[in-house]
Amino acid sequence: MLALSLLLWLLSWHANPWAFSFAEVYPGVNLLFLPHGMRVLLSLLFGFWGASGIAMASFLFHRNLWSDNPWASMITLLISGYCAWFAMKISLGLGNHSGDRRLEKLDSRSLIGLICLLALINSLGHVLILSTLGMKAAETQGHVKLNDTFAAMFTGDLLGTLIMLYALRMIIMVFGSKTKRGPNDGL
Amino acid sequence: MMDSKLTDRENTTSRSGILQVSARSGLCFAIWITASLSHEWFLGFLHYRDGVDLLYLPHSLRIALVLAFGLSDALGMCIATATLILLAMAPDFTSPDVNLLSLMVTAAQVFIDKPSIFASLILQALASGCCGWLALRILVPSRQASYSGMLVNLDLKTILSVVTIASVTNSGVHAGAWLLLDADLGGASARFSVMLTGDVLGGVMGLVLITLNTRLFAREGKMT
Repeated sequence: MLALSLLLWLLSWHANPWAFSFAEVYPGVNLLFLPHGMRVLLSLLFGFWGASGIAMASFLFHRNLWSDNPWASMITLLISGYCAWFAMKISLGLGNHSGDRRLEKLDSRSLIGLICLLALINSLGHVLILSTLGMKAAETQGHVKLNDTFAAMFTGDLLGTLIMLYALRMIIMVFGSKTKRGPNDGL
Repeated sequence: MMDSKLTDRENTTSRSGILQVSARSGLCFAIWITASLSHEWFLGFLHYRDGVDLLYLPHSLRIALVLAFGLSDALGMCIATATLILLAMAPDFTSPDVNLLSLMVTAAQVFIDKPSIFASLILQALASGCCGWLALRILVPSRQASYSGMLVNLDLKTILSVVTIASVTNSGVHAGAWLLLDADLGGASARFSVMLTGDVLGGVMGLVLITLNTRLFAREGKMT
Protein backbone atom coordinates (compact mmCIF):
# COMPACT_ATOMS: atom_id res chain seq x y z
CA MET A 1 0.00 0.00 0.00
CA LEU A 2 2.88 2.33 0.86
CA ALA A 3 4.70 1.68 -2.41
CA LEU A 4 1.48 1.87 -4.43
CA SER A 5 0.46 5.22 -2.97
CA LEU A 6 4.03 6.56 -3.45
CA LEU A 7 3.98 5.53 -7.09
CA LEU A 8 0.46 6.80 -7.77
CA TRP A 9 1.15 10.16 -6.17
CA LEU A 10 4.43 10.66 -8.06
CA LEU A 11 2.66 9.65 -11.27
CA SER A 12 -0.13 12.15 -10.74
CA TRP A 13 2.41 14.85 -9.74
CA HIS A 14 4.30 14.46 -13.01
CA ALA A 15 1.18 13.95 -15.16
CA ASN A 16 -0.56 17.10 -13.92
CA PRO A 17 1.69 19.76 -15.57
CA TRP A 18 1.65 17.72 -18.75
CA ALA A 19 -2.15 17.48 -18.83
CA PHE A 20 -3.05 20.92 -17.47
CA SER A 21 -0.15 23.14 -18.52
CA PHE A 22 -2.66 25.74 -19.73
CA ALA A 23 -3.89 26.23 -16.14
CA GLU A 24 -0.47 26.81 -14.56
CA VAL A 25 -0.25 30.14 -12.75
CA TYR A 26 3.19 29.88 -11.08
CA PRO A 27 5.77 27.05 -11.22
CA GLY A 28 4.16 24.16 -9.31
CA VAL A 29 0.90 26.07 -8.75
CA ASN A 30 -1.94 25.03 -11.02
CA LEU A 31 -5.61 26.04 -11.14
CA LEU A 32 -6.44 22.34 -11.67
CA PHE A 33 -4.25 20.29 -9.32
CA LEU A 34 -5.18 16.62 -9.58
CA PRO A 35 -2.44 15.34 -7.18
CA HIS A 36 -4.43 16.84 -4.30
CA GLY A 37 -7.37 14.69 -5.40
CA MET A 38 -5.03 11.71 -5.43
CA ARG A 39 -3.88 12.67 -1.90
CA VAL A 40 -7.47 12.64 -0.62
CA LEU A 41 -8.26 9.42 -2.44
CA LEU A 42 -5.17 7.55 -1.19
CA SER A 43 -5.73 8.73 2.38
CA LEU A 44 -9.35 7.59 2.16
CA LEU A 45 -8.52 4.21 0.65
CA PHE A 46 -5.31 3.24 2.42
CA GLY A 47 -5.46 5.36 5.59
CA PHE A 48 -2.16 5.87 7.42
CA TRP A 49 -0.10 3.88 4.90
CA GLY A 50 -1.48 5.89 2.01
CA ALA A 51 -0.56 9.12 3.81
CA SER A 52 2.93 7.76 4.55
CA GLY A 53 3.44 6.93 0.86
CA ILE A 54 2.51 10.51 -0.10
CA ALA A 55 4.83 11.89 2.61
CA MET A 56 7.73 9.80 1.27
CA ALA A 57 7.03 10.91 -2.31
CA SER A 58 6.88 14.55 -1.14
CA PHE A 59 10.16 14.12 0.69
CA LEU A 60 11.84 12.72 -2.42
CA PHE A 61 10.52 15.60 -4.49
CA HIS A 62 11.03 18.48 -2.04
CA ARG A 63 14.54 17.36 -1.05
CA ASN A 64 15.71 18.65 -4.42
CA LEU A 65 13.41 21.66 -4.44
CA TRP A 66 14.46 23.05 -1.04
CA SER A 67 17.84 21.42 -0.52
CA ASP A 68 19.11 24.49 1.36
CA ASN A 69 16.36 24.36 3.99
CA PRO A 70 15.77 20.89 5.51
CA TRP A 71 13.16 22.23 7.99
CA ALA A 72 10.97 23.59 5.20
CA SER A 73 11.28 20.27 3.40
CA MET A 74 10.33 18.38 6.58
CA ILE A 75 7.27 20.53 7.37
CA THR A 76 6.13 20.35 3.73
CA LEU A 77 6.22 16.57 3.76
CA LEU A 78 4.19 16.54 6.98
CA ILE A 79 1.56 18.90 5.55
CA SER A 80 1.52 17.25 2.16
CA GLY A 81 1.41 13.69 3.47
CA TYR A 82 -0.40 13.57 6.76
CA CYS A 83 -2.73 16.59 6.77
CA ALA A 84 -5.40 14.92 4.66
CA TRP A 85 -5.30 11.76 6.77
CA PHE A 86 -5.28 13.67 10.07
CA ALA A 87 -8.15 15.98 9.06
CA MET A 88 -10.18 12.97 7.89
CA LYS A 89 -9.51 11.20 11.15
CA ILE A 90 -10.78 14.19 13.13
CA SER A 91 -13.73 15.22 10.97
CA LEU A 92 -15.11 11.79 10.11
CA GLY A 93 -14.11 10.04 13.32
CA LEU A 94 -12.53 7.22 11.36
CA GLY A 95 -11.16 4.43 13.44
CA ASN A 96 -9.08 1.56 12.13
CA HIS A 97 -11.66 0.76 9.46
CA SER A 98 -10.96 -0.59 5.99
CA GLY A 99 -11.07 1.60 2.89
CA ASP A 100 -14.58 0.38 1.99
CA ARG A 101 -15.88 1.22 5.44
CA ARG A 102 -14.38 4.71 5.22
CA LEU A 103 -16.03 5.31 1.84
CA GLU A 104 -19.36 4.03 3.16
CA LYS A 105 -19.31 6.71 5.86
CA LEU A 106 -19.11 9.50 3.29
CA ASP A 107 -22.16 11.18 1.78
CA SER A 108 -21.95 14.08 -0.69
CA ARG A 109 -22.09 16.77 1.97
CA SER A 110 -19.33 15.16 4.07
CA LEU A 111 -17.15 14.63 1.02
CA ILE A 112 -17.46 18.18 -0.37
CA GLY A 113 -17.03 19.66 3.12
CA LEU A 114 -13.93 17.57 3.64
CA ILE A 115 -12.50 18.51 0.22
CA CYS A 116 -12.95 22.21 1.02
CA LEU A 117 -11.36 21.86 4.46
CA LEU A 118 -8.39 19.92 3.13
CA ALA A 119 -7.78 22.38 0.29
CA LEU A 120 -7.79 25.18 2.85
CA ILE A 121 -5.37 23.41 5.22
CA ASN A 122 -3.00 22.36 2.44
CA SER A 123 -2.80 25.71 0.64
CA LEU A 124 -2.55 27.67 3.89
CA GLY A 125 0.22 25.35 5.13
CA HIS A 126 2.22 25.67 1.92
CA VAL A 127 1.85 29.46 1.85
CA LEU A 128 2.90 29.70 5.51
CA ILE A 129 6.05 27.74 4.69
CA LEU A 130 6.73 30.05 1.75
CA SER A 131 6.28 33.10 3.97
CA THR A 132 8.57 31.70 6.71
CA LEU A 133 11.19 30.88 4.10
CA GLY A 134 11.14 34.56 3.24
CA MET A 135 10.03 36.41 0.15
CA LYS A 136 13.43 35.99 -1.51
CA ALA A 137 13.10 32.23 -1.60
CA ALA A 138 9.51 32.57 -2.75
CA GLU A 139 10.51 34.95 -5.53
CA THR A 140 13.16 32.56 -6.80
CA GLN A 141 10.47 29.90 -7.07
CA GLY A 142 8.23 32.29 -9.00
CA HIS A 143 5.70 32.95 -6.20
CA VAL A 144 5.71 36.72 -6.11
CA LYS A 145 2.51 37.57 -4.23
CA LEU A 146 1.64 35.23 -1.39
CA ASN A 147 -2.07 36.21 -1.49
CA ASP A 148 -2.33 35.28 -5.15
CA THR A 149 -0.34 32.08 -4.58
CA PHE A 150 -2.68 31.09 -1.76
CA ALA A 151 -5.78 31.78 -3.89
CA ALA A 152 -4.38 29.88 -6.88
CA MET A 153 -3.28 26.93 -4.70
CA PHE A 154 -6.63 26.75 -2.94
CA THR A 155 -8.52 26.88 -6.25
CA GLY A 156 -6.29 24.20 -7.75
CA ASP A 157 -6.66 21.88 -4.78
CA LEU A 158 -10.43 22.36 -4.57
CA LEU A 159 -11.19 22.00 -8.28
CA GLY A 160 -8.63 19.22 -8.80
CA THR A 161 -10.11 17.11 -6.03
CA LEU A 162 -13.72 17.79 -7.03
CA ILE A 163 -13.00 16.89 -10.66
CA MET A 164 -10.99 13.79 -9.79
CA LEU A 165 -13.36 12.32 -7.21
CA TYR A 166 -16.53 13.01 -9.21
CA ALA A 167 -14.92 11.67 -12.40
CA LEU A 168 -14.04 8.51 -10.48
CA ARG A 169 -17.54 8.31 -9.11
CA MET A 170 -19.02 8.61 -12.60
CA ILE A 171 -16.66 5.92 -13.89
CA ILE A 172 -17.68 3.62 -11.04
CA MET A 173 -21.36 4.34 -11.69
CA VAL A 174 -21.02 3.65 -15.41
CA PHE A 175 -18.72 0.61 -15.32
CA GLY A 176 -19.08 -0.71 -11.81
CA SER A 177 -21.90 -2.43 -10.03
CA LYS A 178 -24.98 -0.61 -8.83
CA THR A 179 -23.85 1.69 -6.05
CA LYS A 180 -26.08 2.45 -3.11
CA ARG A 181 -27.03 6.09 -2.82
CA GLY A 182 -27.74 7.54 0.61
CA PRO A 183 -30.99 9.37 1.39
CA ASN A 184 -29.12 12.69 1.63
CA ASP A 185 -27.20 12.27 -1.59
CA GLY A 186 -28.14 15.07 -3.95
CA LEU A 187 -24.88 15.12 -5.89
CA MET B 1 -72.29 32.05 -7.54
CA MET B 2 -70.09 29.51 -5.81
CA ASP B 3 -67.59 29.69 -8.70
CA SER B 4 -67.36 33.46 -8.57
CA LYS B 5 -66.74 33.33 -4.79
CA LEU B 6 -63.96 30.81 -5.31
CA THR B 7 -62.43 32.91 -8.07
CA ASP B 8 -62.50 35.98 -5.83
CA ARG B 9 -60.78 34.05 -3.05
CA GLU B 10 -58.19 32.67 -5.47
CA ASN B 11 -57.53 36.17 -6.81
CA THR B 12 -57.09 37.54 -3.29
CA THR B 13 -54.78 34.67 -2.37
CA SER B 14 -52.66 35.07 -5.49
CA ARG B 15 -52.55 38.86 -5.00
CA SER B 16 -51.38 38.49 -1.41
CA GLY B 17 -48.86 35.87 -2.59
CA ILE B 18 -47.43 38.28 -5.16
CA LEU B 19 -47.33 41.02 -2.53
CA GLN B 20 -45.47 38.72 -0.13
CA VAL B 21 -42.92 37.72 -2.77
CA SER B 22 -42.43 41.37 -3.76
CA ALA B 23 -41.95 42.41 -0.13
CA ARG B 24 -39.42 39.62 0.46
CA SER B 25 -37.57 40.44 -2.77
CA GLY B 26 -37.50 44.12 -1.80
CA LEU B 27 -36.12 43.25 1.62
CA CYS B 28 -33.44 41.01 0.09
CA PHE B 29 -32.59 43.78 -2.42
CA ALA B 30 -32.10 46.25 0.44
CA ILE B 31 -30.09 43.78 2.56
CA TRP B 32 -27.78 42.87 -0.34
CA ILE B 33 -27.12 46.50 -1.36
CA THR B 34 -26.43 47.43 2.30
CA ALA B 35 -24.17 44.41 2.84
CA SER B 36 -22.17 45.00 -0.36
CA LEU B 37 -21.63 48.69 0.35
CA SER B 38 -20.78 48.02 4.02
CA HIS B 39 -18.28 45.34 3.00
CA GLU B 40 -16.65 47.74 0.55
CA TRP B 41 -16.51 50.43 3.23
CA PHE B 42 -15.20 48.35 6.15
CA LEU B 43 -13.13 45.68 4.38
CA GLY B 44 -12.03 47.67 1.32
CA PHE B 45 -8.38 46.80 2.04
CA LEU B 46 -9.12 43.20 0.98
CA HIS B 47 -9.96 44.39 -2.53
CA TYR B 48 -8.17 42.60 -5.37
CA ARG B 49 -9.87 44.12 -8.41
CA ASP B 50 -13.38 45.44 -9.23
CA GLY B 51 -15.87 43.23 -7.46
CA VAL B 52 -13.25 40.68 -6.35
CA ASP B 53 -12.09 40.34 -2.74
CA LEU B 54 -9.87 37.88 -0.88
CA LEU B 55 -12.49 37.61 1.87
CA TYR B 56 -16.07 38.31 0.75
CA LEU B 57 -18.39 38.16 3.74
CA PRO B 58 -21.63 39.03 1.84
CA HIS B 59 -21.35 35.65 0.07
CA SER B 60 -22.77 34.05 3.22
CA LEU B 61 -25.94 36.11 2.72
CA ARG B 62 -26.52 34.44 -0.65
CA ILE B 63 -27.18 31.22 1.27
CA ALA B 64 -28.58 32.63 4.52
CA LEU B 65 -31.22 34.70 2.70
CA VAL B 66 -32.38 31.69 0.67
CA LEU B 67 -32.71 29.78 3.93
CA ALA B 68 -34.72 32.63 5.44
CA PHE B 69 -36.86 33.77 2.49
CA GLY B 70 -36.71 31.03 -0.16
CA LEU B 71 -36.60 31.62 -3.89
CA SER B 72 -37.86 35.23 -3.68
CA ASP B 73 -34.46 36.06 -2.24
CA ALA B 74 -32.83 35.07 -5.53
CA LEU B 75 -34.98 37.56 -7.46
CA GLY B 76 -34.15 40.42 -5.08
CA MET B 77 -30.45 39.61 -5.15
CA CYS B 78 -30.34 39.34 -8.97
CA ILE B 79 -31.87 42.82 -9.27
CA ALA B 80 -29.57 44.18 -6.54
CA THR B 81 -26.44 42.81 -8.27
CA ALA B 82 -27.54 44.21 -11.64
CA THR B 83 -28.16 47.60 -9.99
CA LEU B 84 -24.71 47.61 -8.34
CA ILE B 85 -22.99 46.73 -11.64
CA LEU B 86 -24.97 49.44 -13.45
CA LEU B 87 -23.98 51.99 -10.81
CA ALA B 88 -20.34 50.91 -11.10
CA MET B 89 -20.57 51.35 -14.88
CA ALA B 90 -21.74 54.96 -14.50
CA PRO B 91 -18.63 56.94 -13.50
CA ASP B 92 -20.40 60.31 -13.29
CA PHE B 93 -23.15 59.10 -10.96
CA THR B 94 -22.25 61.64 -8.27
CA SER B 95 -22.61 64.67 -10.53
CA PRO B 96 -25.80 66.70 -9.98
CA ASP B 97 -26.89 66.50 -13.65
CA VAL B 98 -27.38 62.76 -13.54
CA ASN B 99 -30.83 61.36 -12.82
CA LEU B 100 -32.36 57.89 -13.05
CA LEU B 101 -33.76 58.47 -16.54
CA SER B 102 -30.44 59.62 -18.00
CA LEU B 103 -28.71 56.61 -16.38
CA MET B 104 -31.23 54.22 -17.92
CA VAL B 105 -30.93 55.85 -21.35
CA THR B 106 -27.11 55.65 -21.18
CA ALA B 107 -27.27 51.98 -20.09
CA ALA B 108 -29.74 51.14 -22.89
CA GLN B 109 -27.43 52.77 -25.46
CA VAL B 110 -24.43 50.82 -24.16
CA PHE B 111 -26.39 47.56 -24.26
CA ILE B 112 -27.59 48.16 -27.83
CA ASP B 113 -24.08 49.05 -29.01
CA LYS B 114 -22.44 46.11 -27.24
CA PRO B 115 -24.82 43.21 -26.51
CA SER B 116 -21.96 41.28 -24.85
CA ILE B 117 -22.02 43.81 -21.97
CA PHE B 118 -25.73 43.11 -21.48
CA ALA B 119 -25.15 39.33 -21.59
CA SER B 120 -22.31 39.68 -19.09
CA LEU B 121 -24.52 41.75 -16.75
CA ILE B 122 -27.34 39.18 -16.90
CA LEU B 123 -24.90 36.29 -16.27
CA GLN B 124 -23.33 38.02 -13.27
CA ALA B 125 -26.72 38.94 -11.79
CA LEU B 126 -28.03 35.39 -12.23
CA ALA B 127 -24.88 33.84 -10.72
CA SER B 128 -24.94 36.16 -7.74
CA GLY B 129 -28.64 35.70 -7.06
CA CYS B 130 -29.14 32.02 -7.77
CA CYS B 131 -25.87 30.32 -6.70
CA GLY B 132 -26.97 29.88 -3.06
CA TRP B 133 -30.38 28.53 -4.04
CA LEU B 134 -28.80 26.19 -6.62
CA ALA B 135 -26.28 24.81 -4.10
CA LEU B 136 -29.05 24.13 -1.60
CA ARG B 137 -31.20 22.45 -4.25
CA ILE B 138 -28.26 20.20 -5.22
CA LEU B 139 -27.14 19.23 -1.73
CA VAL B 140 -30.34 19.24 0.33
CA PRO B 141 -32.94 16.60 -0.60
CA SER B 142 -35.63 17.84 -2.97
CA ARG B 143 -38.49 16.55 -0.82
CA GLN B 144 -37.50 19.13 1.77
CA ALA B 145 -39.40 21.92 0.01
CA SER B 146 -38.95 24.57 2.69
CA TYR B 147 -35.63 25.52 4.22
CA SER B 148 -37.21 27.34 7.16
CA GLY B 149 -35.68 26.28 10.46
CA MET B 150 -32.58 24.96 8.71
CA LEU B 151 -30.58 28.07 9.58
CA VAL B 152 -30.64 27.18 13.28
CA ASN B 153 -29.61 23.59 12.65
CA LEU B 154 -26.79 24.17 10.14
CA ASP B 155 -23.72 22.06 10.93
CA LEU B 156 -20.17 22.72 9.71
CA LYS B 157 -20.37 19.86 7.18
CA THR B 158 -23.42 21.40 5.48
CA ILE B 159 -21.98 24.92 5.65
CA LEU B 160 -18.70 23.85 4.01
CA SER B 161 -20.36 21.84 1.25
CA VAL B 162 -23.08 24.38 0.37
CA VAL B 163 -20.60 27.28 0.41
CA THR B 164 -18.18 25.32 -1.81
CA ILE B 165 -20.80 24.53 -4.47
CA ALA B 166 -22.21 28.08 -4.36
CA SER B 167 -18.71 29.59 -4.64
CA VAL B 168 -17.63 27.38 -7.54
CA THR B 169 -20.87 28.20 -9.41
CA ASN B 170 -20.68 31.93 -8.70
CA SER B 171 -17.01 32.43 -9.55
CA GLY B 172 -17.19 30.10 -12.58
CA VAL B 173 -20.10 31.99 -14.14
CA HIS B 174 -18.47 35.33 -13.28
CA ALA B 175 -15.25 34.20 -15.04
CA GLY B 176 -17.34 33.32 -18.11
CA ALA B 177 -18.98 36.76 -17.96
CA TRP B 178 -15.57 38.49 -17.78
CA LEU B 179 -14.38 36.48 -20.78
CA LEU B 180 -17.40 37.81 -22.69
CA LEU B 181 -16.16 41.34 -22.04
CA ASP B 182 -12.48 40.78 -22.88
CA ALA B 183 -10.62 37.67 -23.95
CA ASP B 184 -7.78 37.98 -21.43
CA LEU B 185 -7.70 34.41 -20.10
CA GLY B 186 -4.79 35.04 -17.71
CA GLY B 187 -6.49 37.96 -16.01
CA ALA B 188 -9.81 36.13 -15.80
CA SER B 189 -8.21 33.01 -14.26
CA ALA B 190 -6.36 35.06 -11.63
CA ARG B 191 -9.58 36.89 -10.74
CA PHE B 192 -11.46 33.58 -10.71
CA SER B 193 -9.09 32.01 -8.18
CA VAL B 194 -9.17 35.05 -5.89
CA MET B 195 -12.97 35.27 -6.16
CA LEU B 196 -13.41 31.57 -5.38
CA THR B 197 -11.12 31.83 -2.34
CA GLY B 198 -12.83 35.00 -1.15
CA ASP B 199 -16.29 33.48 -1.55
CA VAL B 200 -15.36 30.29 0.32
CA LEU B 201 -13.57 32.07 3.17
CA GLY B 202 -16.20 34.79 3.53
CA GLY B 203 -19.10 32.38 3.07
CA VAL B 204 -17.93 29.92 5.71
CA MET B 205 -16.97 32.66 8.18
CA GLY B 206 -20.22 34.58 7.67
CA LEU B 207 -22.49 31.52 7.82
CA VAL B 208 -20.83 30.25 11.00
CA LEU B 209 -21.40 33.68 12.60
CA ILE B 210 -25.01 33.88 11.36
CA THR B 211 -25.78 30.33 12.59
CA LEU B 212 -24.25 30.97 16.01
CA ASN B 213 -26.22 34.21 16.36
CA THR B 214 -29.45 32.54 15.24
CA ARG B 215 -28.94 29.76 17.78
CA LEU B 216 -28.24 32.30 20.51
CA PHE B 217 -31.42 34.27 19.71
CA ALA B 218 -33.48 31.06 19.44
CA ARG B 219 -32.23 29.94 22.86
CA GLU B 220 -32.97 33.34 24.41
CA GLY B 221 -36.43 33.32 22.84
CA LYS B 222 -37.15 29.91 24.38
CA MET B 223 -35.93 31.07 27.78
CA THR B 224 -38.21 34.12 27.80
